[in-house]
Amino acid sequence: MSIAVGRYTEFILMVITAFATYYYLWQALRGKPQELREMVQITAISDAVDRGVETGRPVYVSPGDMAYLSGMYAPMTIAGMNVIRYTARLAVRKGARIILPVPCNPEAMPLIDGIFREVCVAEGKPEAYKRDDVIYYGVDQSHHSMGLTATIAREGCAAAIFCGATRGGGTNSPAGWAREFGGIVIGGTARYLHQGSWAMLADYPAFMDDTNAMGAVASGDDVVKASLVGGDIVKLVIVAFLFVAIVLAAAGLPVVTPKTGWIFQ
Amino acid sequence: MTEPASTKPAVVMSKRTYQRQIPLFIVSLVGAIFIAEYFTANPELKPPIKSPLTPLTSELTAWGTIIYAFTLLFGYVGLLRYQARRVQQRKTTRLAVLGGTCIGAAAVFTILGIVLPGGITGSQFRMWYTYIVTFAGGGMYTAWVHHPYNSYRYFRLTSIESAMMFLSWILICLRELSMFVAIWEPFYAIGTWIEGVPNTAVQRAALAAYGIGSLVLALRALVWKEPGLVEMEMA
Repeated sequence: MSIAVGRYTEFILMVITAFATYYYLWQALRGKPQELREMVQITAISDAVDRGVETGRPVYVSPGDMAYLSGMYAPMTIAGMNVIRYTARLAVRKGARIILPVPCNPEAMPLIDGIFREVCVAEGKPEAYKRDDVIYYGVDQSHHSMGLTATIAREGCAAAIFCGATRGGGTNSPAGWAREFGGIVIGGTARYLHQGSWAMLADYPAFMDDTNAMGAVASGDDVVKASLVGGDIVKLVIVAFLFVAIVLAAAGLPVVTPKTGWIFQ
Repeated sequence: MTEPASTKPAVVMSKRTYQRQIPLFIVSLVGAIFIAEYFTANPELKPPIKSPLTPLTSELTAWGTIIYAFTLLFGYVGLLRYQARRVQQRKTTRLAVLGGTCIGAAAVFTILGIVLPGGITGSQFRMWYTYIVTFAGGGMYTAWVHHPYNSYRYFRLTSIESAMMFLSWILICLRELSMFVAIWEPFYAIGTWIEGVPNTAVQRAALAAYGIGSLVLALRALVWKEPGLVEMEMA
Protein backbone atom coordinates (compact mmCIF):
# COMPACT_ATOMS: atom_id res chain seq x y z
CA MET A 1 0.00 0.00 0.00
CA SER A 2 1.34 3.43 -0.91
CA ILE A 3 0.24 7.02 -1.49
CA ALA A 4 -2.09 7.16 -4.49
CA VAL A 5 -0.49 8.40 -7.71
CA GLY A 6 -1.50 11.99 -8.45
CA ARG A 7 -2.17 12.81 -4.80
CA TYR A 8 1.33 13.41 -3.45
CA THR A 9 0.99 17.20 -3.54
CA GLU A 10 -2.40 17.10 -1.83
CA PHE A 11 -1.04 14.73 0.77
CA ILE A 12 1.94 16.95 1.53
CA LEU A 13 -0.36 19.98 1.73
CA MET A 14 -2.70 18.17 4.09
CA VAL A 15 0.16 17.05 6.33
CA ILE A 16 1.52 20.63 6.49
CA THR A 17 -1.97 21.98 7.25
CA ALA A 18 -2.58 19.35 9.90
CA PHE A 19 0.77 20.01 11.52
CA ALA A 20 0.26 23.79 11.56
CA THR A 21 -3.35 23.54 12.78
CA TYR A 22 -2.66 21.03 15.55
CA TYR A 23 0.47 22.87 16.66
CA TYR A 24 -1.51 26.04 17.33
CA LEU A 25 -4.38 24.06 18.84
CA TRP A 26 -1.91 22.40 21.17
CA GLN A 27 -0.34 25.75 22.05
CA ALA A 28 -3.78 27.14 22.92
CA LEU A 29 -4.61 24.07 24.99
CA ARG A 30 -1.39 24.68 26.91
CA GLY A 31 -2.66 28.14 27.77
CA LYS A 32 -0.89 30.05 25.00
CA PRO A 33 -3.68 31.49 22.82
CA GLN A 34 -2.89 33.49 19.70
CA GLU A 35 -3.58 37.19 19.46
CA LEU A 36 -5.92 37.79 16.52
CA ARG A 37 -6.91 41.10 15.03
CA GLU A 38 -10.44 42.23 15.73
CA MET A 39 -12.96 41.20 13.09
CA VAL A 40 -15.17 44.19 12.38
CA GLN A 41 -17.85 41.83 11.08
CA ILE A 42 -18.09 40.26 14.55
CA THR A 43 -17.91 43.46 16.57
CA ALA A 44 -20.60 44.93 14.30
CA ILE A 45 -22.97 42.15 15.38
CA SER A 46 -23.10 43.70 18.84
CA ASP A 47 -23.97 47.08 17.30
CA ALA A 48 -26.60 45.39 15.16
CA VAL A 49 -28.22 43.80 18.20
CA ASP A 50 -28.14 47.14 20.03
CA ARG A 51 -29.90 48.66 17.06
CA GLY A 52 -32.53 45.94 17.37
CA VAL A 53 -33.08 46.83 21.03
CA GLU A 54 -33.28 50.56 20.30
CA THR A 55 -35.62 50.36 17.34
CA GLY A 56 -37.72 47.39 18.47
CA ARG A 57 -37.25 45.82 15.07
CA PRO A 58 -36.01 42.25 14.63
CA VAL A 59 -32.50 41.08 13.82
CA TYR A 60 -32.42 38.42 11.11
CA VAL A 61 -29.73 35.78 11.37
CA SER A 62 -29.24 32.90 8.96
CA PRO A 63 -26.56 30.52 7.68
CA GLY A 64 -27.92 31.07 4.15
CA ASP A 65 -30.66 29.39 2.17
CA MET A 66 -28.24 26.70 0.94
CA ALA A 67 -26.96 25.77 4.38
CA TYR A 68 -26.93 22.01 4.04
CA LEU A 69 -25.25 19.54 6.34
CA SER A 70 -23.53 17.56 3.62
CA GLY A 71 -21.36 18.27 0.61
CA MET A 72 -19.36 21.37 -0.20
CA TYR A 73 -21.67 23.69 1.70
CA ALA A 74 -21.30 21.91 5.05
CA PRO A 75 -18.24 23.92 6.22
CA MET A 76 -20.08 27.17 5.44
CA THR A 77 -23.08 25.86 7.38
CA ILE A 78 -20.93 24.97 10.38
CA ALA A 79 -19.31 28.43 10.37
CA GLY A 80 -22.78 29.98 10.06
CA MET A 81 -24.02 28.05 13.09
CA ASN A 82 -21.33 29.64 15.25
CA VAL A 83 -22.44 33.07 14.06
CA ILE A 84 -26.09 32.20 14.79
CA ARG A 85 -25.18 31.08 18.31
CA TYR A 86 -23.13 34.23 18.95
CA THR A 87 -25.84 36.56 17.64
CA ALA A 88 -28.60 34.71 19.47
CA ARG A 89 -26.70 34.96 22.77
CA LEU A 90 -26.25 38.70 22.39
CA ALA A 91 -29.83 39.23 21.25
CA VAL A 92 -31.40 37.19 24.05
CA ARG A 93 -29.10 38.78 26.64
CA LYS A 94 -29.90 42.32 25.49
CA GLY A 95 -33.56 41.74 24.74
CA ALA A 96 -33.62 42.07 20.95
CA ARG A 97 -35.96 39.95 18.87
CA ILE A 98 -34.26 37.62 16.42
CA ILE A 99 -35.82 35.94 13.41
CA LEU A 100 -34.14 32.80 12.08
CA PRO A 101 -34.93 31.95 8.44
CA VAL A 102 -34.53 28.22 7.80
CA PRO A 103 -32.57 27.02 4.73
CA CYS A 104 -34.48 25.45 1.83
CA ASN A 105 -33.56 21.91 2.86
CA PRO A 106 -34.96 21.87 6.37
CA GLU A 107 -32.35 19.39 7.66
CA ALA A 108 -30.66 22.24 9.53
CA MET A 109 -33.92 23.41 11.10
CA PRO A 110 -33.72 21.23 14.23
CA LEU A 111 -30.18 22.50 14.71
CA ILE A 112 -31.10 26.18 14.31
CA ASP A 113 -34.16 25.77 16.50
CA GLY A 114 -32.10 23.86 19.09
CA ILE A 115 -29.45 26.58 19.22
CA PHE A 116 -32.13 29.27 19.71
CA ARG A 117 -33.93 27.25 22.38
CA GLU A 118 -30.77 26.35 24.30
CA VAL A 119 -29.37 29.88 24.13
CA CYS A 120 -32.61 31.22 25.64
CA VAL A 121 -32.42 28.70 28.51
CA ALA A 122 -28.68 29.22 29.03
CA GLU A 123 -29.19 32.99 29.22
CA GLY A 124 -31.89 32.48 31.84
CA LYS A 125 -34.68 33.70 29.57
CA PRO A 126 -36.54 30.65 28.31
CA GLU A 127 -39.53 32.87 27.53
CA ALA A 128 -37.42 34.59 24.84
CA TYR A 129 -37.70 31.47 22.69
CA LYS A 130 -40.44 31.89 20.10
CA ARG A 131 -41.08 29.03 17.75
CA ASP A 132 -42.79 31.35 15.28
CA ASP A 133 -39.54 33.24 14.78
CA VAL A 134 -37.86 30.16 13.31
CA ILE A 135 -39.36 30.48 9.84
CA TYR A 136 -39.29 28.06 6.94
CA TYR A 137 -40.11 29.56 3.56
CA GLY A 138 -40.03 26.65 1.14
CA VAL A 139 -37.95 24.23 -0.86
CA ASP A 140 -36.73 26.60 -3.51
CA GLN A 141 -34.67 29.78 -3.40
CA SER A 142 -37.49 31.69 -5.05
CA HIS A 143 -39.85 30.90 -2.17
CA HIS A 144 -37.15 31.66 0.38
CA SER A 145 -36.45 34.94 -1.35
CA MET A 146 -40.05 36.09 -1.52
CA GLY A 147 -40.95 34.85 1.95
CA LEU A 148 -37.96 36.42 3.68
CA THR A 149 -38.37 39.68 1.78
CA ALA A 150 -42.05 39.76 2.79
CA THR A 151 -41.16 39.17 6.45
CA ILE A 152 -38.58 41.97 6.30
CA ALA A 153 -41.15 44.29 4.73
CA ARG A 154 -43.83 43.33 7.27
CA GLU A 155 -41.80 43.19 10.48
CA GLY A 156 -39.11 45.76 9.67
CA CYS A 157 -35.41 45.14 10.02
CA ALA A 158 -32.77 46.32 12.46
CA ALA A 159 -30.06 44.12 10.98
CA ALA A 160 -29.52 41.13 8.74
CA ILE A 161 -26.65 38.80 9.59
CA PHE A 162 -26.34 36.20 6.85
CA CYS A 163 -23.10 34.24 7.03
CA GLY A 164 -22.77 30.89 5.29
CA ALA A 165 -24.02 29.26 2.11
CA THR A 166 -26.06 31.97 0.42
CA ARG A 167 -27.58 32.10 -3.04
CA GLY A 168 -28.15 35.10 -5.28
CA GLY A 169 -31.92 35.01 -5.03
CA GLY A 170 -32.56 33.16 -1.78
CA THR A 171 -30.48 35.20 0.64
CA ASN A 172 -28.53 37.92 -1.19
CA SER A 173 -31.62 39.55 -2.65
CA PRO A 174 -33.39 39.76 0.75
CA ALA A 175 -30.13 41.17 2.18
CA GLY A 176 -30.49 44.00 -0.33
CA TRP A 177 -34.06 44.55 0.83
CA ALA A 178 -32.93 44.46 4.47
CA ARG A 179 -30.59 47.31 3.64
CA GLU A 180 -33.39 49.07 1.82
CA PHE A 181 -35.54 48.86 4.96
CA GLY A 182 -32.79 50.46 7.05
CA GLY A 183 -31.10 47.38 8.44
CA ILE A 184 -27.38 46.93 9.03
CA VAL A 185 -26.22 44.09 6.76
CA ILE A 186 -23.41 41.84 7.94
CA GLY A 187 -22.37 38.69 6.17
CA GLY A 188 -20.98 36.88 3.23
CA THR A 189 -20.39 33.53 1.71
CA ALA A 190 -17.55 31.37 0.45
CA ARG A 191 -19.32 30.90 -2.87
CA TYR A 192 -17.03 32.74 -5.27
CA LEU A 193 -19.71 33.94 -7.67
CA HIS A 194 -21.44 35.91 -4.94
CA GLN A 195 -18.49 37.93 -3.65
CA GLY A 196 -19.56 40.92 -5.72
CA SER A 197 -23.07 40.81 -4.29
CA TRP A 198 -21.77 40.95 -0.74
CA ALA A 199 -19.28 43.70 -1.55
CA MET A 200 -22.25 45.66 -2.82
CA LEU A 201 -24.94 44.74 -0.31
CA ALA A 202 -23.23 44.37 3.05
CA ASP A 203 -22.15 47.10 5.40
CA TYR A 204 -19.69 44.57 6.84
CA PRO A 205 -18.95 41.99 4.14
CA ALA A 206 -17.13 38.70 4.72
CA PHE A 207 -15.32 37.34 1.68
CA MET A 208 -14.55 33.66 1.10
CA ASP A 209 -12.42 32.41 4.01
CA ASP A 210 -13.63 35.33 6.16
CA THR A 211 -16.78 33.28 6.73
CA ASN A 212 -14.73 30.51 8.35
CA ALA A 213 -12.85 33.11 10.39
CA MET A 214 -16.17 34.68 11.48
CA GLY A 215 -17.36 31.28 12.66
CA ALA A 216 -14.16 30.62 14.59
CA VAL A 217 -14.02 34.06 16.19
CA ALA A 218 -17.75 33.98 17.00
CA SER A 219 -17.21 30.72 18.88
CA GLY A 220 -15.24 32.72 21.44
CA ASP A 221 -13.04 29.66 22.01
CA ASP A 222 -9.30 30.45 22.12
CA VAL A 223 -8.46 26.95 20.93
CA VAL A 224 -10.69 27.28 17.87
CA LYS A 225 -9.39 30.76 17.12
CA ALA A 226 -5.77 29.65 17.42
CA SER A 227 -6.24 27.13 14.61
CA LEU A 228 -6.85 30.04 12.20
CA VAL A 229 -3.20 30.99 12.60
CA GLY A 230 -2.23 27.51 11.39
CA GLY A 231 -4.31 28.06 8.25
CA ASP A 232 -2.64 31.42 7.63
CA ILE A 233 0.81 29.83 7.90
CA VAL A 234 -0.20 27.30 5.23
CA LYS A 235 -1.43 30.09 2.96
CA LEU A 236 1.96 31.79 3.29
CA VAL A 237 3.68 28.49 2.50
CA ILE A 238 1.55 28.18 -0.66
CA VAL A 239 2.41 31.74 -1.73
CA ALA A 240 6.13 31.00 -1.21
CA PHE A 241 5.75 27.74 -3.13
CA LEU A 242 4.08 29.60 -6.00
CA PHE A 243 7.03 31.97 -6.31
CA VAL A 244 9.48 29.07 -6.29
CA ALA A 245 7.34 27.16 -8.82
CA ILE A 246 7.21 30.18 -11.14
CA VAL A 247 11.01 30.56 -11.00
CA LEU A 248 11.59 26.83 -11.59
CA ALA A 249 9.04 26.73 -14.41
CA ALA A 250 10.71 29.76 -15.99
CA ALA A 251 13.99 27.85 -15.77
CA GLY A 252 12.43 25.10 -17.85
CA LEU A 253 11.74 22.52 -15.16
CA PRO A 254 8.46 20.54 -15.44
CA VAL A 255 6.88 21.94 -12.28
CA VAL A 256 3.43 22.83 -13.58
CA THR A 257 3.35 20.99 -16.90
CA PRO A 258 -0.26 19.76 -17.30
CA LYS A 259 -0.70 16.14 -16.13
CA THR A 260 3.02 15.33 -15.95
CA GLY A 261 4.26 18.27 -13.83
CA TRP A 262 5.66 17.74 -10.34
CA ILE A 263 2.64 19.22 -8.58
CA PHE A 264 0.32 16.79 -10.39
CA GLN A 265 2.20 13.72 -9.10
CA MET B 1 -24.74 -5.42 52.98
CA THR B 2 -26.20 -4.08 49.81
CA GLU B 3 -28.36 -0.99 49.57
CA PRO B 4 -31.99 -1.29 48.51
CA ALA B 5 -32.26 -0.85 44.77
CA SER B 6 -34.44 2.23 45.10
CA THR B 7 -31.75 4.28 46.88
CA LYS B 8 -28.96 3.58 44.37
CA PRO B 9 -28.07 6.58 42.23
CA ALA B 10 -29.35 5.98 38.75
CA VAL B 11 -26.67 5.49 36.11
CA VAL B 12 -27.76 8.11 33.61
CA MET B 13 -25.76 8.89 30.55
CA SER B 14 -25.27 12.65 30.36
CA LYS B 15 -26.89 14.53 27.49
CA ARG B 16 -23.43 15.75 26.51
CA THR B 17 -22.21 12.17 26.17
CA TYR B 18 -24.89 10.92 23.81
CA GLN B 19 -25.56 14.15 21.96
CA ARG B 20 -21.98 15.32 21.57
CA GLN B 21 -19.21 12.91 22.55
CA ILE B 22 -20.48 9.74 20.86
CA PRO B 23 -21.47 11.44 17.56
CA LEU B 24 -18.13 13.26 17.51
CA PHE B 25 -16.26 10.02 18.02
CA ILE B 26 -18.15 8.40 15.14
CA VAL B 27 -17.56 11.43 12.88
CA SER B 28 -13.83 11.45 13.71
CA LEU B 29 -13.47 7.74 13.06
CA VAL B 30 -15.38 7.82 9.77
CA GLY B 31 -13.60 10.99 8.68
CA ALA B 32 -10.19 9.44 9.36
CA ILE B 33 -11.14 6.32 7.35
CA PHE B 34 -12.21 8.44 4.36
CA ILE B 35 -9.01 10.51 4.48
CA ALA B 36 -6.91 7.34 4.60
CA GLU B 37 -8.87 5.84 1.69
CA TYR B 38 -8.43 8.97 -0.41
CA PHE B 39 -4.66 9.03 -0.08
CA THR B 40 -3.82 5.33 -0.17
CA ALA B 41 -3.58 2.99 -3.13
CA ASN B 42 -2.64 -0.60 -3.83
CA PRO B 43 -1.57 -1.23 -7.45
CA GLU B 44 -2.45 -4.92 -7.10
CA LEU B 45 -6.14 -4.18 -6.65
CA LYS B 46 -8.41 -4.15 -9.68
CA PRO B 47 -10.29 -0.90 -10.55
CA PRO B 48 -12.64 0.60 -9.46
CA ILE B 49 -11.21 -0.53 -6.11
CA LYS B 50 -8.07 1.57 -5.66
CA SER B 51 -7.43 1.28 -1.96
CA PRO B 52 -7.88 -1.61 0.49
CA LEU B 53 -10.26 0.72 2.32
CA THR B 54 -12.51 1.33 -0.71
CA PRO B 55 -15.06 -1.43 0.14
CA LEU B 56 -15.35 -0.04 3.67
CA THR B 57 -15.84 3.55 2.49
CA SER B 58 -18.44 2.40 -0.06
CA GLU B 59 -20.39 0.77 2.74
CA LEU B 60 -20.01 3.84 4.94
CA THR B 61 -21.18 6.07 2.09
CA ALA B 62 -24.33 3.98 1.75
CA TRP B 63 -24.95 4.29 5.48
CA GLY B 64 -24.22 8.00 5.27
CA THR B 65 -26.92 8.35 2.62
CA ILE B 66 -29.39 6.44 4.78
CA ILE B 67 -28.62 8.54 7.86
CA TYR B 68 -28.78 11.73 5.80
CA ALA B 69 -32.23 10.72 4.54
CA PHE B 70 -33.36 10.35 8.15
CA THR B 71 -31.88 13.77 8.98
CA LEU B 72 -33.89 15.27 6.15
CA LEU B 73 -36.99 13.37 7.25
CA PHE B 74 -36.45 14.63 10.80
CA GLY B 75 -36.31 18.17 9.44
CA TYR B 76 -39.56 17.76 7.48
CA VAL B 77 -41.35 16.07 10.38
CA GLY B 78 -40.23 18.89 12.67
CA LEU B 79 -41.50 21.40 10.15
CA LEU B 80 -44.94 19.78 9.95
CA ARG B 81 -45.06 19.52 13.74
CA TYR B 82 -44.48 23.27 14.03
CA GLN B 83 -47.22 24.01 11.54
CA ALA B 84 -49.58 21.61 13.33
CA ARG B 85 -49.00 23.44 16.62
CA ARG B 86 -49.87 26.72 14.96
CA VAL B 87 -53.09 25.22 13.65
CA GLN B 88 -53.93 23.87 17.11
CA GLN B 89 -54.09 27.40 18.55
CA ARG B 90 -57.57 28.43 19.59
CA LYS B 91 -57.37 31.81 17.88
CA THR B 92 -57.43 31.89 14.09
CA THR B 93 -54.25 33.83 13.40
CA ARG B 94 -52.47 34.48 10.12
CA LEU B 95 -49.78 32.00 11.15
CA ALA B 96 -52.41 29.35 11.86
CA VAL B 97 -53.85 29.83 8.37
CA LEU B 98 -50.36 29.60 6.86
CA GLY B 99 -49.66 26.48 8.92
CA GLY B 100 -52.86 24.85 7.73
CA THR B 101 -52.01 25.73 4.14
CA CYS B 102 -48.56 24.19 4.53
CA ILE B 103 -49.90 20.94 5.99
CA GLY B 104 -52.69 20.78 3.42
CA ALA B 105 -50.27 21.36 0.55
CA ALA B 106 -47.90 18.71 1.88
CA ALA B 107 -50.80 16.23 2.11
CA VAL B 108 -52.14 17.05 -1.36
CA PHE B 109 -48.75 16.75 -3.04
CA THR B 110 -47.99 13.51 -1.20
CA ILE B 111 -51.27 12.04 -2.49
CA LEU B 112 -50.61 13.37 -6.00
CA GLY B 113 -47.15 11.81 -5.95
CA ILE B 114 -48.64 8.45 -5.00
CA VAL B 115 -51.72 8.30 -7.22
CA LEU B 116 -50.61 10.07 -10.41
CA PRO B 117 -49.00 7.93 -13.11
CA GLY B 118 -45.22 8.15 -13.05
CA GLY B 119 -45.11 9.34 -9.43
CA ILE B 120 -43.23 12.53 -8.67
CA THR B 121 -41.30 12.32 -11.93
CA GLY B 122 -44.42 11.90 -14.05
CA SER B 123 -45.62 14.65 -16.37
CA GLN B 124 -48.88 15.23 -14.48
CA PHE B 125 -47.18 15.69 -11.12
CA ARG B 126 -44.60 18.01 -12.73
CA MET B 127 -47.44 20.01 -14.24
CA TRP B 128 -49.14 20.52 -10.86
CA TYR B 129 -45.81 21.33 -9.21
CA THR B 130 -44.72 23.78 -11.90
CA TYR B 131 -47.98 25.70 -12.15
CA ILE B 132 -48.54 25.96 -8.41
CA VAL B 133 -45.26 25.74 -6.52
CA THR B 134 -42.75 27.05 -9.05
CA PHE B 135 -44.98 29.86 -10.24
CA ALA B 136 -45.63 30.90 -6.64
CA GLY B 137 -41.97 31.80 -6.37
CA GLY B 138 -41.85 33.60 -9.68
CA GLY B 139 -41.95 36.95 -7.94
CA MET B 140 -38.31 36.41 -7.03
CA TYR B 141 -37.30 37.44 -10.51
CA THR B 142 -38.86 40.84 -10.01
CA ALA B 143 -37.07 41.10 -6.67
CA TRP B 144 -33.83 40.45 -8.53
CA VAL B 145 -34.31 43.77 -10.28
CA HIS B 146 -33.05 45.09 -6.99
CA HIS B 147 -29.57 43.71 -7.73
CA PRO B 148 -28.67 46.00 -10.65
CA TYR B 149 -30.49 48.79 -8.86
CA ASN B 150 -28.13 48.31 -5.93
CA SER B 151 -25.20 48.29 -8.32
CA TYR B 152 -26.14 51.71 -9.61
CA ARG B 153 -26.81 52.98 -6.15
CA TYR B 154 -23.95 51.63 -4.07
CA PHE B 155 -20.96 51.60 -6.41
CA ARG B 156 -18.91 54.56 -5.32
CA LEU B 157 -15.51 55.92 -6.20
CA THR B 158 -14.66 56.33 -2.53
CA SER B 159 -11.59 54.10 -2.35
CA ILE B 160 -9.15 52.35 -4.67
CA GLU B 161 -10.94 49.02 -4.07
CA SER B 162 -14.43 50.34 -4.75
CA ALA B 163 -13.17 52.25 -7.81
CA MET B 164 -11.54 49.06 -9.17
CA MET B 165 -14.72 47.10 -8.61
CA PHE B 166 -16.84 49.76 -10.25
CA LEU B 167 -14.47 50.02 -13.21
CA SER B 168 -14.33 46.22 -13.68
CA TRP B 169 -18.10 46.00 -13.49
CA ILE B 170 -18.73 48.77 -16.01
CA LEU B 171 -16.15 47.40 -18.48
CA ILE B 172 -17.77 43.94 -18.33
CA CYS B 173 -21.18 45.59 -18.84
CA LEU B 174 -19.86 47.47 -21.87
CA ARG B 175 -18.58 44.19 -23.34
CA GLU B 176 -22.02 42.62 -22.90
CA LEU B 177 -23.78 45.54 -24.59
CA SER B 178 -23.12 44.98 -28.28
CA MET B 179 -23.99 48.59 -29.13
CA PHE B 180 -20.88 49.80 -27.28
CA VAL B 181 -18.74 47.06 -28.84
CA ALA B 182 -19.97 48.20 -32.25
CA ILE B 183 -18.96 51.78 -31.38
CA TRP B 184 -15.53 50.83 -30.03
CA GLU B 185 -14.44 47.26 -30.70
CA PRO B 186 -11.70 46.98 -28.02
CA PHE B 187 -14.46 47.00 -25.34
CA TYR B 188 -14.90 43.31 -26.13
CA ALA B 189 -11.21 42.45 -25.67
CA ILE B 190 -10.91 44.56 -22.50
CA GLY B 191 -13.95 42.93 -20.88
CA THR B 192 -12.78 39.47 -21.87
CA TRP B 193 -9.32 40.14 -20.45
CA ILE B 194 -10.77 41.34 -17.13
CA GLU B 195 -12.89 38.22 -16.90
CA GLY B 196 -10.19 35.81 -18.03
CA VAL B 197 -7.05 37.13 -16.37
CA PRO B 198 -7.48 39.19 -13.15
CA ASN B 199 -10.83 37.60 -12.31
CA THR B 200 -9.55 34.05 -12.83
CA ALA B 201 -6.39 34.76 -10.84
CA VAL B 202 -8.38 36.18 -7.93
CA GLN B 203 -10.85 33.30 -8.15
CA ARG B 204 -8.09 30.69 -7.85
CA ALA B 205 -6.44 32.49 -4.94
CA ALA B 206 -9.77 32.97 -3.16
CA LEU B 207 -10.78 29.34 -3.62
CA ALA B 208 -7.36 28.12 -2.45
CA ALA B 209 -7.61 30.27 0.68
CA TYR B 210 -11.11 29.03 1.38
CA GLY B 211 -9.99 25.44 0.74
CA ILE B 212 -7.30 25.78 3.40
CA GLY B 213 -9.82 27.39 5.76
CA SER B 214 -12.24 24.50 5.24
CA LEU B 215 -9.45 21.98 5.76
CA VAL B 216 -8.58 23.67 9.06
CA LEU B 217 -12.24 23.52 10.07
CA ALA B 218 -12.38 19.81 9.18
CA LEU B 219 -9.16 19.10 11.08
CA ARG B 220 -10.63 20.87 14.10
CA ALA B 221 -13.78 18.76 13.81
CA LEU B 222 -11.66 15.62 13.60
CA VAL B 223 -10.26 16.30 17.08
CA TRP B 224 -13.58 17.52 18.53
CA LYS B 225 -12.65 21.18 18.60
CA GLU B 226 -15.21 22.55 16.15
CA PRO B 227 -18.22 23.82 18.11
CA GLY B 228 -20.29 24.91 15.10
CA LEU B 229 -22.35 21.82 14.59
CA VAL B 230 -22.72 20.07 17.90
CA GLU B 231 -21.77 22.46 20.69
CA MET B 232 -24.40 22.69 23.37
CA GLU B 233 -25.32 25.57 25.62
CA MET B 234 -26.20 23.15 28.40
CA ALA B 235 -24.44 19.96 29.40
